[in-house]
Amino acid sequence: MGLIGGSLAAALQKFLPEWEVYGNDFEEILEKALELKYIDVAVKQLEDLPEDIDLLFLGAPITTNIKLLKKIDSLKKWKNLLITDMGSTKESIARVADQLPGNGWWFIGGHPMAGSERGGIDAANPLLFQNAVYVLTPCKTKNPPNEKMAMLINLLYKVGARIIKIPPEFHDRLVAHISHLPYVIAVSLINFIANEEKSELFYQLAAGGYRDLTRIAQSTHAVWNDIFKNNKKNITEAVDDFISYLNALKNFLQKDDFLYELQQAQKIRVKIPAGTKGFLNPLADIRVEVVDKPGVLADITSVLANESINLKDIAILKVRENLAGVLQLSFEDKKIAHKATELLQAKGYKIFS
Amino acid sequence: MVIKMKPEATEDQKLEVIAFLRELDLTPHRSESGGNTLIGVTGSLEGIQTASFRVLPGVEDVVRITAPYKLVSKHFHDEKTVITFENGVTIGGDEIAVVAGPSAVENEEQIETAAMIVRSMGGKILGGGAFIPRSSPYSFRGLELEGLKLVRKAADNNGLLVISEILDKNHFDDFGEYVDIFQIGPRNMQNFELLKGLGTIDKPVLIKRGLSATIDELLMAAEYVMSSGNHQVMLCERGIRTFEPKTGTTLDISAIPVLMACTHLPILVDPSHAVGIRDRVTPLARAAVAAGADGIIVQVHPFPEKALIDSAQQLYPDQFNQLMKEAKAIAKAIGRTL
Repeated sequence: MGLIGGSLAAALQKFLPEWEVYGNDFEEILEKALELKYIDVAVKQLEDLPEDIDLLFLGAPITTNIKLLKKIDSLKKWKNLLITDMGSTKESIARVADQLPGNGWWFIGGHPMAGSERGGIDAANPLLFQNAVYVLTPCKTKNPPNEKMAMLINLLYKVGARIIKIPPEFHDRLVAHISHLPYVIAVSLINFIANEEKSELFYQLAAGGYRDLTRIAQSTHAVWNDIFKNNKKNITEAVDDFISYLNALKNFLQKDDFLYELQQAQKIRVKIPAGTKGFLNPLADIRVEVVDKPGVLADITSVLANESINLKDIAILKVRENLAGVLQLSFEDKKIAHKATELLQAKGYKIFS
Repeated sequence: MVIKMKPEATEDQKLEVIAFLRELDLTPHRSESGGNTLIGVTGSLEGIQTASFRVLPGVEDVVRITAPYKLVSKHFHDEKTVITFENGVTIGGDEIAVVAGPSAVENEEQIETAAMIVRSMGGKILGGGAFIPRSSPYSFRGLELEGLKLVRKAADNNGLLVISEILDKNHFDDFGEYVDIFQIGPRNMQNFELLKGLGTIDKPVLIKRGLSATIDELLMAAEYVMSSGNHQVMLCERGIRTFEPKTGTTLDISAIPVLMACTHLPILVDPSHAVGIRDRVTPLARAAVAAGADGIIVQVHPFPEKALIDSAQQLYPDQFNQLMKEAKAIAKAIGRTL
């Protein structure tokens, strides 16, 4: 019942109140889940889950999910159960599911492509899955019967998700490139450059673009450790491919032949849909020009507070002391950012988005 | 004209009648119905007196059919036509067929996901447009042969049959390879050359009613296909143009009982194209089942708001789930299954 599991439970309460939701996790988390009314019943042990449950979502790290799946199979307690996981890699668990005998359960892998920088049940949000792509990856031998599949599909759409079915091996190769490799690069950018530039200037000048690029390095490293373990081969391949590509870029640079690559990057990036959520939900940023004097921050934040506008992140992009600077405000989505812009402009602030 | 033979008529007498018809350059269509032999007659009946047939030995009665259509008519073929597929699916029997799928095959993942959704919710036939007739030459017109291959693969992976719209005679071979039911769209309902060509293929054909076509015109379109040799024909009501601007077209529910009274061919209904907006599709689907349709054709897409075409009318999977539940209940109420 971390971010994803907690959000799913919360979403079920909101959109499918007729479902009875059981939660299983550590004591403290269960207490919180009950307090927040995300679950109906807290279950301390896996074996205490009633035998007539229809669906089971495994929301722990991938390696733990695999252990849980094995345990469920060995307990032989359930008869008509569709198990799905929510891990970021799909092949390792699919292979285990195929190898197990299958005592009264079926399995289909799942990967909700939704997330946030913060983790844990405190960050859970019933609207996390709205418009989020939810990948389903069937295994070879434990595919559920029609009614169970329909039940799962119906549930996912009711909480706002948009499903897409792809084979597990294809999924893992894909995320190695679009999600895991970027993380590796972000980590390397930070560690490498920080190590090179051991001066104060690094921290002062490395704002804006550098921060954006490395934002994903902020996410929970335990989660990433688990992902790396389960997608080693594909990530290694992706890194190798990337190294070759960087070398090619190096050559273009040498020959002053970089322009085409720059143009391509611009064209391609525009095509990436902004509306659907990725593994990291982008916030809508605006920048406010501020004079560096006391009270400015309080003024801006009170304008927003008066209209109950939720400020997700705030960054002071300082360039020079005692002169005009820029305040970067981050909001949940473009609509809210727009509203904030209007309010602040009405108060005389200059806004760039 | 239909010649009804006496119950006690001998085989020789029946063959005599048939030979006589042939001599007159008429085409006999023999069918057995409830113990009686009926011989339907097509061809030019100008100048021919029904009396000349009434006097033939073994003939009980001769009925002149005033309607322009014969082979599609109930008079020619009393029993309801039931189209049967190798995998056991039937259209025209007790079980109401559900055809579902996205408007267009857009890519492999989309059609595979759609097929999974259709199968898990009880659909039997996967629809996917590969050759799409657009009003504008600049709009997306489908993945063509590639689209056919993808929809076939997705259907095979999910135990479904395939229906897709054909636009051109040149595609008969490709369609024969990948498709189980050939669909003729409303704009081709009176493409007589195409209809005649379909008489030569041995797969079932679904003909959609033209936007401003009368029921008789629809029946004549079916007559074209049947008289050219293919008797596996199904009809589909999908909305007709009326004066009402609030709906794309008006779904003509009355067409169902009217057609049922004239013809033995299976009758399907496409509420999606008729009304054009997804929230209005389910009530019409229920109505179609209640009115006696043999099948419904519904558009479902895993990502409707991102669909390349018809994005306003394709159902979300959970809406499709609800539609199936409700349609099942209505089918049960009228003694059919779904």
